[in-house]
Amino acid sequence: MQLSEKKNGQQGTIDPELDDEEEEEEEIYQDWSQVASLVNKNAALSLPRRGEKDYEPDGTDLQEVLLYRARKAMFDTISDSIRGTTVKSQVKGYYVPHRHQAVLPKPKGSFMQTMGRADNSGELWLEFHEFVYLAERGTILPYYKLQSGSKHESSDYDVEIMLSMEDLYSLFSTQHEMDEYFVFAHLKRLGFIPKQCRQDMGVTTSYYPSSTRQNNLHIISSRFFSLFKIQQISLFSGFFYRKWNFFFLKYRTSPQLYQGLNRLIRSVTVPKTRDELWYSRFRRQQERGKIEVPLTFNVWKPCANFKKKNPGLPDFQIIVYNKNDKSQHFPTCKELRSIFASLDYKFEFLNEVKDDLDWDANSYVEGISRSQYNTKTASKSRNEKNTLPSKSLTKFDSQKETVKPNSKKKSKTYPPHIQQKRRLKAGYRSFILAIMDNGLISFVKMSEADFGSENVWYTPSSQSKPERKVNGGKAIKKATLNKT
Amino acid sequence: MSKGRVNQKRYKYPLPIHPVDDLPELILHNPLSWLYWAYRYYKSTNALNDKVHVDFIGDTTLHITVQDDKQMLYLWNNGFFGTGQFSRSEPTWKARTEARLGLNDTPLHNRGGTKSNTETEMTLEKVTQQRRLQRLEFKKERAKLERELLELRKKGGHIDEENILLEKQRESLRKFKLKQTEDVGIVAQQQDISESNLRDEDNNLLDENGDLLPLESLELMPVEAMFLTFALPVLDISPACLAGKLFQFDAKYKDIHSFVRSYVIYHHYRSHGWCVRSGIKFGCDYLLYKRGPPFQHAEFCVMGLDHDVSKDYTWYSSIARVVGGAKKTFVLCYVERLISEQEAIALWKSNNFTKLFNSFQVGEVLYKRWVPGRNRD
Repeated sequence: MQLSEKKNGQQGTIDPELDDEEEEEEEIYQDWSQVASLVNKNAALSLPRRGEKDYEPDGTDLQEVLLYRARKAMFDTISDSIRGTTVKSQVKGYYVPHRHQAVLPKPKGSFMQTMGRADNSGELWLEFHEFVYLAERGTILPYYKLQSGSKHESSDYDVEIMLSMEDLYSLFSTQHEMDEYFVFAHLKRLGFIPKQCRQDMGVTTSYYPSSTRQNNLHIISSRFFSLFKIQQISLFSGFFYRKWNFFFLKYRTSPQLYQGLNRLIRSVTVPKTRDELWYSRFRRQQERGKIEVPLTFNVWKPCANFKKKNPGLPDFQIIVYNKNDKSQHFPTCKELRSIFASLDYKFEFLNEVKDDLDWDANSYVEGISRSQYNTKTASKSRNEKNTLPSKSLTKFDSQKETVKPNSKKKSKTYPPHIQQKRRLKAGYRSFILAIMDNGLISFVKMSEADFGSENVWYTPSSQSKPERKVNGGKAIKKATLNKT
Repeated sequence: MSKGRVNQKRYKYPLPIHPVDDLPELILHNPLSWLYWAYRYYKSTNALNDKVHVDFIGDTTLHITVQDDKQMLYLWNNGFFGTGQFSRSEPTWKARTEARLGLNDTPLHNRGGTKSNTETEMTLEKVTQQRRLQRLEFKKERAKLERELLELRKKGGHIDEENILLEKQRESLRKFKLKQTEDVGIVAQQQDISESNLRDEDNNLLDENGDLLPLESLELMPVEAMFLTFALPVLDISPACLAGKLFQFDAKYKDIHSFVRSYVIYHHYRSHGWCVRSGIKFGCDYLLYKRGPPFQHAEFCVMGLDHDVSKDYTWYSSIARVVGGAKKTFVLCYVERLISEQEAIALWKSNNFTKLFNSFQVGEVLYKRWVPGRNRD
C-alpha cells in the first residue's frame, strides 16, 4: 500500500501538466491564437520559419529577443489555461493483465470516436497501446487492476494501484510492441487514425469482393488473362537476335529497333487495374504457404466523421521494422512482393485512371459494396431508432457532400507523357515502412514500379514536319505507340 | 537556329544503329516509284559501314577506349555512350583546346558534332565555370548586404528601419541577378581574351605540323561495350572477344555475377528507350535520362540488387538521401536469376549470351522518404 501511495503522490504532481482539459462533457481546447499571431506577423520578427536558420550569433541580442518572445508566447498560452481534471470528469482506466488490455468502466471523451471497443455492459476496452497513449496524454488515469473473481463485482475495483508512466512502459511485452507503440503514438499525435491490423474491427472493408463472388470473377478474369499471358510468353521466348538481323530485317523506325531489343530481359509486370488486382488476389489465395510479412497498422487520414466500427478502406498501410533487431531485416524482393500482394487499401493509383473514383462503390463489406452496406445499415438504424433518423441521415449526406467537390476539382487531364511520368514516379501498390532506430522513426514509402511496361524512346519525326516535333507532337506520337 | 533545334537535329537518332528512314516517297499511281523504292529498300541496311574501333588498355584494370575523333563523337551523338577522358562526359577536349589555342579558323558550331552555344561559342565546361563565378559574385554581394543589416542592428535600429532596409536589399539583389544573366556574353568574351595567352607547355600539345595531338579518348563502361557488341553490332569486336578481355578464361560464376547483373539492368532500361549512364556521381549504379543529358536532367537513379538480398537500412537511407537531395527518384532494381549458377557459367563459357541474359528477370521497387505531415491532406 505504501508503494501505491507513493506512486499516487507522483502521479498527482505529474498529472495536471499532462492533462488535457476536460470539464463537464466538453473538452476545452487550448487557445493557440497568441502563438499563431506571432507566426503571422511580419516575416523578420516572428517565429523563425522552417528552413531559415541563423548561421551564427551575430553579436546583437535580436536573435535572443526573438527566441525569448517565441518561448514566452508558448508559456503564456499554457499558463493561461485551466489545468488538471475535475474529479467528476476523471476517466479511470484499468489494466487487465490476462488480456493485456485495459478497461474503462465509465468512458467519456472525444477519444472514443477512434479508439477502444465497447462491450455489452457499456465498458470500453482499450488495446494496450491505446491505453498507454491516452495515459501519456493525460486523458485517462491508469490503474492496475488486481486479478480476482468476476468483473462485475464492484469490490474488485477497490484493489487498484495507480500506475506511473514507467510502470506502464514496463508492461510492454516485447521490444517490438514498444516500437509499434512509438509509431502509433507519433502518427496519432499528428492527427492520423492508426489502427492495428490484427485488431478486431466492427466490420472489415476490403477492396476485394468476398471469396464466393471470386469464383465467378475468376472464370472471367482467367479467360482474359490466359490470353494475355500467352502473348507475353511468346514475346519473351522470341528474342532471336542474330548478327545478320540488321542486314535483312531492315528496321524502318527506331521503335522497331527498340522492340527487337526489349525482348531479351524479362520483367515483372505488376497489377495496374481493378481486374488485374482482383486476379492477383485470386492467384495469391491459391498459392498458400508463401512467406507472409504481417502488416502492422492501417492508417486513415484525419477525418471528422470517422466511424470506428465501419471505417472503410484505410489510406495507408504500415509495417514497423526495427533496424537494430537482429531477428529482423529490411524486406527482400520476395518479401516486398508478398507484402504488395497482401495490401488492401485505397489504391491511390486507381485515381489516376479514373478521377472521381467512388471508394464506397468500389470496396466491399460482407460481400456487398460498401455504399450498399451503408445505406442498408442507415435504413436499419432508422427503423430501429426512430429518435435519431435525422442525425444519421445528415451525417451520411454531409459525407457525400464533402466528397463530391474534391472529385470535381481533380478532374484534370494531363498529356500522355506527363501521365507516363507520374506513373513511373508514383508506382502502383505501395506501403509505408516505419523504421525504428533507437527511438528515431523514419518513414519510407515503398511502391511497386513497372518500367518494363513503359517505353520512353524518342521517335524522330519526319523531316517534313519539324514544327510538330517542337510543339510536343512527339508526346502524342509516343503515347499511341505505347498503347499498341 | 535555337539551341533546341540544333539538338533536335544533332541527336536525332537515339541509337548508333539507324533505322532505314531515307527511302523515297511511294507514289501509288506511279509504278516507277515502286521500282525505285524497292531498289532503295534492297540496297539499304541498318548496319554500319565501318564499325567503331575499340582499344583495350591496361593490364590490371581494363579500359575500353575509342580513339578516333569522329567515332568518339558518333557514339556520343547517337545514344550518349562513353565518357571523354578529359571532359565532363561529352568528349570536348579537342574542340576546347583548339579554340583556346586558336588553331581552327572555322567557328565551332559549323563543324559537325561539336557542342556549342551558338552566340558565344562556349563549351559546356565553360558555361559551368562561368555560372560558378557568377554565383560566387552573387554570394559576395549578398554577404555585403548582410553586413549592412548587421551594422544597423548593432546601432540599435528600429524594427521598421530594419524592414525597410531588408526590402531595399532584396530589390537590389534581384537587380544584381538580372544584370548577371544579361552579362553572360560579355563576361565570356573577356575571359576568352584572358585565356588565349599561350603557355609554354601548350607547345607539347602540338605535332610538327602544328596540329593538335589526339590525346583524348572516349572510355566505355564494360556494360556499354557489351551492349554495343552484343545487342547492336557497332564495335569491331565480337561479344566473345569482349567477354574474354573482361574475365579470365577460367572465371567462376561469382566472378561474372555482378557484371551480368549490371548488363541485364543496363539492357533492360536501354531497350525501353532510356538513356542509361553511370550513376556514380549520385552513389548509385545508373542514371536514367529520358532522351539524354542535353535535353533533361536524369529523373531516376537505379541501384541493382539481387532479389534475395537485404542490406542494412543505413545502406538504403544513405543512397536515398543523396538521390532525394538531387530531386531524383530512387529505384531499387531487383534481378532474379532463373537458372542455376552452373548453367549460367556454362552459357557464359559457350558464349551463348542471348540465352544467359534471357534467363534473368528484373523488377523494380520505388523507395521514397515519406513525411507524415505532408500526407495529411
